[in-house]
Amino acid sequence: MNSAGLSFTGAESLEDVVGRCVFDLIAPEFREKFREFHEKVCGGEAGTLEMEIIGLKGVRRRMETHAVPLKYGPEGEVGQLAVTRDVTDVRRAEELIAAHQAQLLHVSRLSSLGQMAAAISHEITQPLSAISNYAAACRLLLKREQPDLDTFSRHIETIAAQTHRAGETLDRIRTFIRGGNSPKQSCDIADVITGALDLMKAELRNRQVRVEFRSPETLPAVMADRIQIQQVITNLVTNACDAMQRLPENERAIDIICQHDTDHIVINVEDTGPGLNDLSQETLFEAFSTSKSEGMGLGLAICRDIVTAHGGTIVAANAPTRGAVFQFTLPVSKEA
Amino acid sequence: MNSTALTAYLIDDDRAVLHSVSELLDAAGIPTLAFISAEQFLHQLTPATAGCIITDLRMQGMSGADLLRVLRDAGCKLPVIVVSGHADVPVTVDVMEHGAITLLQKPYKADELLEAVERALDIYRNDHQRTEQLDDIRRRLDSLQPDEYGVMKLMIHGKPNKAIASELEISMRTVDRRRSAVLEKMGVASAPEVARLVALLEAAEIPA
Repeated sequence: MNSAGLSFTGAESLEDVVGRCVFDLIAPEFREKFREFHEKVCGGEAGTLEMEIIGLKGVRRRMETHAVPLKYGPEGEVGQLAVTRDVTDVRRAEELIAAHQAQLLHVSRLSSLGQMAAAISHEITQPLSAISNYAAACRLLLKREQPDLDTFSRHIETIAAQTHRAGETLDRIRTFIRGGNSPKQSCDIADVITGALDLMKAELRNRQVRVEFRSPETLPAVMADRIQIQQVITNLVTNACDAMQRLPENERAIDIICQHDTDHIVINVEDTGPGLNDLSQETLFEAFSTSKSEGMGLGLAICRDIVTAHGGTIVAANAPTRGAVFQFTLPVSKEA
Repeated sequence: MNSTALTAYLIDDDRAVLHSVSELLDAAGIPTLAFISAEQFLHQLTPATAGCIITDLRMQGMSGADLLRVLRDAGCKLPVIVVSGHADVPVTVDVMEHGAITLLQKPYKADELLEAVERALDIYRNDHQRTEQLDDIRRRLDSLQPDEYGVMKLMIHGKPNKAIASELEISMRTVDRRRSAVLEKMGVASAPEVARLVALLEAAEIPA
């Protein structure tokens, strides 16, 4: 063990560690793994293991060890040569970046939702109003000498349906603003897009924008974080709406088109706005670059981060006739 | 005119809400007609339409605020109740300035709506009564002969017969005859009552 090794283990001098079993230093939950690893290397196979150790002074550190089998002695006994490095700070930094990224995505989702707050509250107020009216109607019906029970039970049914309607809206919001990242899972992209559009339904109505979503009957599944992909759709659709703000209402249209080949699903989001002035992809997707007076210019940067993290790409172009097209791809899930 | 002949005209582009209001008023014994858009309502609006309007503010196509403008420009006097999911101050001011009698924020209490509808129908009834009364006064005034009209103008300023006779250079007897004709045609017993009717009509004809 060299001096770096001494400092990892919290030893003052070589005497502190000589004669001690290396297993004593390994954190208990990694001992079994370490034993397997050790046997594997002694069996003649090189390998890498990440584990945690607890030093002599009780400090826990994350270590990465690379080991190769080493033949020595006349009988060909096998030992091993291990190079172990302290990755505590690296892992901590990585975790911090991941946490910040998750936070940024979360905050950005809250912010998109905040922009749609009026529309969404409308979406919940409608069924609540209806419920309140039906309930009052029921109360009045019961006051009659001969209550019309058929109408009464019809109202009760409608109240239940409207409650369900409000609940669905709340579910969509709750899922969308949930913090952190959900694990990637195999999902139907058409379903994910429809979910995002449902969430934006009221906002689109307010802005008098028509959205058409076209997709083949069946699409191969993609491994994706549903919420993050919905965030990409929400950002692109919001941008498209912003771009078409000055158009007469009957010309505001967004087409979302899904296609696929064997490896990728390709999603196009096209608007009928004035198109993009600056087609330089670098600046377009860069954080804090914005052409709008409101907003931070994070929308497209976030889209790019999410799509890239999913193994896809995102590009922008102008449509041949009018408007901008944002196209992103997601790799098709290899698990059938 | 009794209240059962008056109808509440409902306009909301959310079918569930529209239907619920209709059922609520139905249970309260108020006749309703429901419309899914302001355009659809305007399409069947006639001068004979009697009652009040309950409209949503934000709708596909024509908004509630636009509807108020159209109605005002057309001289429609139907009282309008506006309901809205998001009524901030500027919206409220705008709607009230355009003649809505009230603005209810969704989700409102059913009783608030019923009260507002009762009030709107009362306003309509009073308004309607007043319009009929003014029409009646106008008809009576129009029935006066030019000579009688001249006497009436001086009568309502409280001038005695003698003064009227000298001012118009006619005999006391003629003044007497015309004064009786005025009172009879106006359907009242005294000059101050004629003055009150004329004042009512003048007040109504000066734009507010």
